[in-house]
Amino acid sequence: MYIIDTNIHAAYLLQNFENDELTKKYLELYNTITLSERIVPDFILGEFETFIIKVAPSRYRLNSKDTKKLKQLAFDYIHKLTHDCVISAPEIHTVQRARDIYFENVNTHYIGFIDCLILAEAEKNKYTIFTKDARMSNIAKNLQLACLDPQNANN
Amino acid sequence: MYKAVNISENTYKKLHKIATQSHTPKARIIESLVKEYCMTMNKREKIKLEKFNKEMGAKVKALKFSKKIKVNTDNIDADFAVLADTDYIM
Repeated sequence: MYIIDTNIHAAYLLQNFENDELTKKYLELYNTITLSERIVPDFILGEFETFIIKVAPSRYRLNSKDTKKLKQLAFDYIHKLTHDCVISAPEIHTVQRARDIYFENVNTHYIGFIDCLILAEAEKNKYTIFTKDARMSNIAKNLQLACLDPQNANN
Repeated sequence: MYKAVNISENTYKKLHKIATQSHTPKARIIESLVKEYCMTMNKREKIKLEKFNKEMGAKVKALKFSKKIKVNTDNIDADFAVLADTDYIM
């Protein structure tokens, strides 16, 4: 089972506009993960929705017509994710573990709280983390959590 | 290592009948059934994935903007900084 980070969902939706080879490898791998193996936590859905609906149009200065097209695509994708993939929500202990990871790293290798929730959720449920975020991957390795890395495609 | 499971009386009777007729231990029948069930599920999952990739992939590839943009999703946390304070004011 793979816990999918927001950056993978964003890269998937915006693949027409991102041309680096590594991202293509991430997406090739993403396309092979069956839907019942894709874990979609509620907090990732929230972050992804904010990114696509609020952040991306502003960051890339999209006009209202292009923003509308992107929003419609996001609605279709969110609809499919929430119907076909595995939705999850963290338990209180997982949030407390995320808090510990957050404060252990906040002054040395800062990562956001949502990333800490991914790490804690993966740790609790033995999920493999699928992210493009190098900082999170490094902390995951320190915590001895599995990460799906397209550069080691035999994982 | 073997584990015990509870099944209904009716299911047990059917399992017993299969085992008797096929001269096969019940455990082996259950193992075969589970294996078969997994294969069917995997086939179903592959079909669902192919459908998802085809339908959603077509929509994603059809997305075109009126101007050329170059996206980088390596560090989207930083992109959240573009949100102005007013974006969260009701």
